Amino acid sequence: MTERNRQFDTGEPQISPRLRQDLQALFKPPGAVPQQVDKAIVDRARHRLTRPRRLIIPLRWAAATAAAAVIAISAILYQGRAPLNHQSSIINYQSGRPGPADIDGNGRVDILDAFRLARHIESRGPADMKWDLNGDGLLDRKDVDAVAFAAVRLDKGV
Amino acid sequence: MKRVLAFSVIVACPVLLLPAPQASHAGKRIEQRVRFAPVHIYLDSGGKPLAAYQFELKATYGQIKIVGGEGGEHPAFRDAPYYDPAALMNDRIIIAAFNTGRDLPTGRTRIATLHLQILGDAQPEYQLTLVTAADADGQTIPAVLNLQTGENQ
Repeated sequence: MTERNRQFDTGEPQISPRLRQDLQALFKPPGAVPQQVDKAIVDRARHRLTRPRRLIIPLRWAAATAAAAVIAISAILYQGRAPLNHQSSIINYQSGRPGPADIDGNGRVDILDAFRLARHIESRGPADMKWDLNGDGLLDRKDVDAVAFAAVRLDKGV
Repeated sequence: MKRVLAFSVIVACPVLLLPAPQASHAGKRIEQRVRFAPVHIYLDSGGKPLAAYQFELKATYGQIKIVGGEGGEHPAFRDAPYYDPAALMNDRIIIAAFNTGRDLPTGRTRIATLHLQILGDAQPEYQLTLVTAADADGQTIPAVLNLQTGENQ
């Protein structure tokens, strides 16, 4: 064994008591935190950490609902459903019901019902408001159109 | 976060599972030959003036889609007739029109023209049904309805 190895095998180096005291004083932990300070720190931390969390949870659900809505709307648009236009909205009036649109009362709605209503309006005869099929308080060309569109609806058959 | 994802999927799934008929036929459309052709509808009211008509056309053979319609040759029926917009891109349509004026056509006249999209090589066959035809007094009249395909009118 060499002289150098022997130095490392001597165990813990010996230090003087004075040096030990100085080192302990230098690295001594600070004094105990007063209980009031400790409580104040904990309260402030709790206040700051709990309030944002209450907001985060509803925001997550709102984001999830919005994402679901976007997916749903995209799916509906992708399916390419026929857009509503003026004609189809007229069909959706109450004129789709065979009762009021059956102007001549023969039990079926066809173009002759619209023709007769148009002739009646043009002749300025007494207005029967049961023919006000779109419910706007007027008996006019719009009601004639409503009857005509009811006559050509595909889902009513011939 | 997992609960949020699960919620999104649960809400969106019913909508995604709805049928998408147009999308499902897209593949077939690409494979088939597509051509467009007009079909002219003629009505012969004999000696009576024609004031109103209604008919139904549907394909009985072949694959067609109705893509549009226009009025007839006489000024009384030159405006676009009434039809259900749902008939477009369908193979069945009900067409109707009327005129309360005094200048009305008599005899054989073209009352409407339909524009069709024909899928495939088969020559389509049609069924034409006259629902009603009437004179200026609104009285039904006997009439003969027929059609002519192609560009010649």
